[in-house]
Amino acid sequence: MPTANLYAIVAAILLLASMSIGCGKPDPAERFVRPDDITDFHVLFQQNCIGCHGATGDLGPAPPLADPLFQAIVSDDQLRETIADGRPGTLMPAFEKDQGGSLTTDQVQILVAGIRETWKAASTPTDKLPPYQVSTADPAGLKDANVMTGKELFETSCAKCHGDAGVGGDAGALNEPALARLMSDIVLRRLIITGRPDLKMPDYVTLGKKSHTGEAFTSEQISDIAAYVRSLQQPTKIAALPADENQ
Amino acid sequence: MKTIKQVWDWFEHRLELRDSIWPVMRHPVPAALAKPVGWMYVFGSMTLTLLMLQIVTGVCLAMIYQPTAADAYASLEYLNYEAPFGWLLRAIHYWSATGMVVMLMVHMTQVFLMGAFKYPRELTWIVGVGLLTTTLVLAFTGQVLRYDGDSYWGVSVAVSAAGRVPFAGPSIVHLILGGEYIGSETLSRFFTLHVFILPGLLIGLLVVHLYLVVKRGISEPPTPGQPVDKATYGEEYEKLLEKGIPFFPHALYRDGVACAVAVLIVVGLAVIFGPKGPGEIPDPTLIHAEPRPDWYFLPVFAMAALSPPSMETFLMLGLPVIGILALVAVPFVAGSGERSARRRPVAVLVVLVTFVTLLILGWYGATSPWSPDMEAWSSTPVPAGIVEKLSPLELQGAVVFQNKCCRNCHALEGAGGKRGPDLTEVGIRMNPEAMVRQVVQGGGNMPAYAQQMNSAEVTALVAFLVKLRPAGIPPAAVPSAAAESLVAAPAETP
Repeated sequence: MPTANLYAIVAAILLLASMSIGCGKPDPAERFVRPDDITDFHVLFQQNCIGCHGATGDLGPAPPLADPLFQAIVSDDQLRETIADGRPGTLMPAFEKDQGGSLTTDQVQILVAGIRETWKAASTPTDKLPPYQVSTADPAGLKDANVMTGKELFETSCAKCHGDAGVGGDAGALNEPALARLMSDIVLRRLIITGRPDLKMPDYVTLGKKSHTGEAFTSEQISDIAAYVRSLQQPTKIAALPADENQ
Repeated sequence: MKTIKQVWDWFEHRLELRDSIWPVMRHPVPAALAKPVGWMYVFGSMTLTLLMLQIVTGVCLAMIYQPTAADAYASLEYLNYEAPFGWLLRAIHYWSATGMVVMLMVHMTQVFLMGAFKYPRELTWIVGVGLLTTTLVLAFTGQVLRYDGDSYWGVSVAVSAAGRVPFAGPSIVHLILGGEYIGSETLSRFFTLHVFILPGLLIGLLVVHLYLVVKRGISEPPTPGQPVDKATYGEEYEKLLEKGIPFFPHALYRDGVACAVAVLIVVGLAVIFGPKGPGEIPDPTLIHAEPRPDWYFLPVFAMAALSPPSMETFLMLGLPVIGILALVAVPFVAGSGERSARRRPVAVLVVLVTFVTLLILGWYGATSPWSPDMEAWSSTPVPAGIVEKLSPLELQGAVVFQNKCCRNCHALEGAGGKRGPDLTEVGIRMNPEAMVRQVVQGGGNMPAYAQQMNSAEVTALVAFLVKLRPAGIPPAAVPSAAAESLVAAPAETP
């Protein structure tokens, strides 16, 4: 068979195969959807969250969401409120339209449900875990915290990575005044509880066992450590920032 | 058979095709066209074939398309998703338009390089320029009928250009839009242009073009050292045709093969890649829209975006006119003399410079690095490899980098906006003081952020930026002179 005829037959077969498959046929799933009408969690998360929280909910500069321990201590309302209203005074912006964001109330709810579904909570009973928020007026419980106790706990656990007085070690310094303005008390408390498993920072159980107490930190001890860290960042102001800046 | 012959004779007796069409089909053409060089003469026929494909698919599409602001988008979605083979019709229409523009450019380049525009075929070339212009306007009006975000903003740009015409600008804008804003009246006008007026004009020009091709004859392949002399060319060409071959079948069969290949390629592309759009809905309140023209106009798009504001009016109104006039002037500037490209280095250079320029501008238009990536701050993650190395303060700096939308203009490891430089290794280019100054005061096309950031945010951001450097490389110690501008910051800073 002449080569030209062979080429023609191959081309015809390929064309017929392509037509039968219809690979260029538009997929209805790829229709344009107005931003307000997007209801797919993965699309919403990809468009709004991964910039800071990481492509898979971890390994972003902001605290990870793909953390079962965090999922266990935070409630749906707290998650919804944080997404909708942001954290005033910090870098977490408000995402709900009423607060100047771009998401509808339904979309915020879809994000909450999706985060819950995707990164399910740890099986530990909630009543045995330290609370995410101590109280509304004092979210991280810093007002009643004991800085000296926190110092002692810090020096026997956290200082191994963050250095004495938080001047820095393998995990970097904590005594930066800028951190006091950028990181809310509640986030500081949350990081002591959950650690950052994606960045190899241990949680409150592991840290506590490394401390001189040899046991997991209690809620009060976590507040004490947070208060001590704050004192390192604001030597003249040991107390927390006003509550309305730390919700 | 006898009946068929009777029917044929009945028509032939009335149409007398043997006396009209047949002589045209058998008119002599240079014998060289029977050689492989004859394949260089098929591009015009391929363009014509693709036009036929445009007409056939266009007629089918017009039966369904609704040229109103309320229904146009929905009718395109109906074609894409519901009408049997509607998507394929749209795809063939789009890809044959693409093919038509490509083949027109190839055809004109071939005619230009082979000197076929020279005496006595100047008018054939000029009509060809008219065909090119009409085809491009058809392409633009076709894009407008694909009533999506690209279409909406394309019209907006076109009318803002038209509005700059001295004295008549506002009237022209009103004429184009059919009112004060883009709506059904606008679509109706573009539909009329695309379906009736421009095709009519194109076919009229095409008839003249083909008439001239037959009347003036197909140019012979050029031979170096045989220049066109207006005094003798006619006589020499007549002698050439005495030894010529009939157009049918010797030349026509190549056209047939080439046209079949063109149709196969277009249908293949249509089947594999499908139709273009419609993209996002034509809603000016969608602030994240990134309108972009179809590929034919990407070089113009890039030129308009990259030019200084003082040049805009000239580029929008003057350059297209100058471009057309330059093409029209070609046969008057070089209407005689050498035809072979081997003896016309300037012509070869013009073609090369033109295509390289169009390709570079087209690439810029397709990527539009001047536009911030408006969603990068929230949808493009900080690379995990960077995050793993950061201290608590630097982590906060990375959040500042995202939260303040630095990412919309600055990429990390290639991901993010391209308007400013990629900052993956900015730590070896600028020292902390230079970074603070750049962030706070801006400069070099970057806005000042002093009003948008507090001191803690600047501190954290700079700490993060200083960390952005390869492992083992110390941070920049001193700002270089060029560190005045982050945009222009050179890589050689220690």
